[in-house]
Amino acid sequence: MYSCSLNLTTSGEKMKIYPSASYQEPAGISMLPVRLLRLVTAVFKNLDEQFWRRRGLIQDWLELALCGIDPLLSRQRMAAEVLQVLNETPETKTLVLRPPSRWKGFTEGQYLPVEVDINGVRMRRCYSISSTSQQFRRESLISITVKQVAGGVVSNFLNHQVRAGDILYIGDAEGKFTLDSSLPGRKPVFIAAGSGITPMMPMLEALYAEHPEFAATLIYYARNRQELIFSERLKRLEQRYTQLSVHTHFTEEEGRVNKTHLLRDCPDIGSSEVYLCGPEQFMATVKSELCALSDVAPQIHQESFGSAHSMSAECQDIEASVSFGLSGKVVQSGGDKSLLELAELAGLQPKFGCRGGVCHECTCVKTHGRVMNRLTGEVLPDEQEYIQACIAIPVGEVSIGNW
Amino acid sequence: MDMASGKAPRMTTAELESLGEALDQLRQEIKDDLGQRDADYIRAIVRKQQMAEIAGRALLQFSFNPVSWVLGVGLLSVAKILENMEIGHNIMHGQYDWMNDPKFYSQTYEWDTICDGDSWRRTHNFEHHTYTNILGMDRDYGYGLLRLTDNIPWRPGHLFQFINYVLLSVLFDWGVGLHELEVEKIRSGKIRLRDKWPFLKSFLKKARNQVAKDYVIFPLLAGPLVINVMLGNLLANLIRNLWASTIIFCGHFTEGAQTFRKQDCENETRGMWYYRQLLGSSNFTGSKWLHIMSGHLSFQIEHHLFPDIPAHRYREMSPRVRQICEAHGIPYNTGSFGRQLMTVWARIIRYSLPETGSAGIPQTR
Repeated sequence: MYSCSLNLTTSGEKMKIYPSASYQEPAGISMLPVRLLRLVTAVFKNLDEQFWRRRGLIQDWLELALCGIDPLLSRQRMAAEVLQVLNETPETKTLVLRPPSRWKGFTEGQYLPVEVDINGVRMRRCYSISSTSQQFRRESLISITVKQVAGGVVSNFLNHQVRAGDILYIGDAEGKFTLDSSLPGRKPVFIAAGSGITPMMPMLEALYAEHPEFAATLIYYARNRQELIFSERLKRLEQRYTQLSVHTHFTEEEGRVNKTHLLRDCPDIGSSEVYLCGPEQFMATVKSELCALSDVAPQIHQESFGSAHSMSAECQDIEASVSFGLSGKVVQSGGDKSLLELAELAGLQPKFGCRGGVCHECTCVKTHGRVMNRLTGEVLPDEQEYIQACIAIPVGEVSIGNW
Repeated sequence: MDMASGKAPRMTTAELESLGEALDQLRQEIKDDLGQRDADYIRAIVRKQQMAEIAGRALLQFSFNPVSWVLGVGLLSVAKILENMEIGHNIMHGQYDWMNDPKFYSQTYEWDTICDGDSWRRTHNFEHHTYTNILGMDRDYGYGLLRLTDNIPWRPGHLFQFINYVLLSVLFDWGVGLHELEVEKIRSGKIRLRDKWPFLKSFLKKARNQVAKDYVIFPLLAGPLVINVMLGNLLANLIRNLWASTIIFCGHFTEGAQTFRKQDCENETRGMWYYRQLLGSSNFTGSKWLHIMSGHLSFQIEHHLFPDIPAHRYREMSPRVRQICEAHGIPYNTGSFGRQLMTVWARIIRYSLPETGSAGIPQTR
């Protein structure tokens, strides 16, 4: 069973927003057959999973037969049918998907890995799920909301090429940007810009579906009124729940985010729990403005969409050498390139996805040395072996075992 | 650069540089053009191969009459040839790595033959394709078994090398599988058997799986027809072996294909590397499906110049390569399949005998 309960921990107590999705069984001896049935199903499910995890002739032939009947029946990949394509703004579309029954479910705020083949090349990207888990339980549907990015191959493909009836290949939901366990009873403040609203919309809907009395604030920046994503859903939520205050800003009229806006929209922002999502530049500005405005720094949770990053100045002059164990290659680094880029410069072709530290596709095994997270400037603990190569800047001597 | 054998035209450094540039440019042009067409091509070939294998094995499984047995063997042979030559060999070269699809990823692909994929990637992709036809470095040259140039000293054992060649062809999958064992070095005492233990372990594992599949599991599944299936699979493997061996021998052992010495290739530039690949390889002509069934090794020259370009592109690259060769006065070794094969057999027989001085290929040493 998937666990899509949304837990808020308040002063040590776990407060369940959702009842667990599993069936509530009355106690008693009459439940024995049900339990037996469930056990048998679980055993079969497990065997089935193990069978399909292996690669072999029989699996390939069955896959060929299943996909010959209908690509949606694929077992080696997770095929989701596109049921609807909805226009949100002139540059943003919502794709309503029906994942296969073995898809494990999600928690609001998590993202969905999506694979598309464009001109023969398989591309992987992650998109925040913009629907609620309640809708998934009721209708088995989820949606992602994709804003076109200038030069973004996949976002443009999803906006212009995908029609209802098409198939997208997906992975299990991932991500820690959820209202899950960490909320210490402080008031949540959601700050979003542009498509940064996509994980927050379902988070808010889920929160208020269960806790109408909960106080929360949403501060949302869009370029102008036409580019406001989810204006209808936001209006509905705001009208229904008086405890939610929604503040929209149009940067074309009001300029970029600044502390005056933040303080006006939420005077007690310094003591709140901030959920932040938007372009890198926007998130950096919000963080520095928040730091400047109070001595008590608010707790910040952030979701990065992994677009191109510029290096922070302090990383520029780290000398390092990286040896790749499997290929026997050694490269020198001036501190301005990630492990993934260094590996590619060395002629290797490691697997990668978002290239921005989001999707974990490029994870490699570090057998020795230290790396710094390019996004945060943090040096990772030595014992951390599996590292995301696309955002890891080697520091000193580093060895990668499996490349 | 001096050649160990053959009538190689002498090239100046500037000429070699211009050759390198011309071939690099062609390579880049095709690389930039890779896309949907190539992905569709390889997926379609894989689908055809899978259909042929399913049909072939099914016919063998229920081969109550000789017709279905013969058809089954035929289809299974075709499937195995396609898988080994057009699919496996080419994927493992990294020709389809750009697709970013784990099914077509060179480093994890495992093919339907005795040879372990990792061993192949080491000995073939690295050794053979880097040190092509350099005597003493490219162990694919004669497979440590055949004398195909006077630069290898004659021994009486070479008198019977045509028989060795036939045996190697019959047992080709086992020969290729055991290539990394370097038997000749173990025999001469250069290395010990125990140094090869890691290789042997992976070899035995792969061989066990292959034997189990073709000679135990599928035959047992056929119940009373167990012998039919076993013999059918054996014959299909044999046909694949003879075909693969024949194609591969036409790639480097034809009359005009040249060999090189270690010292010729020190500090080699890209142009020189290209030049060596051109002189050491030979093509043969034929229909579209002859090319496909040979895994496009009928374009051995193009394959050695551009081993990681999708092989079905060699057909369109070949006229350009030929032009470049003509412009630089380099021979482009090609001919019909039959003619090239005859020169291979002639070469095996000719070098069974000791050097006569006058009849041999002229020496530049």
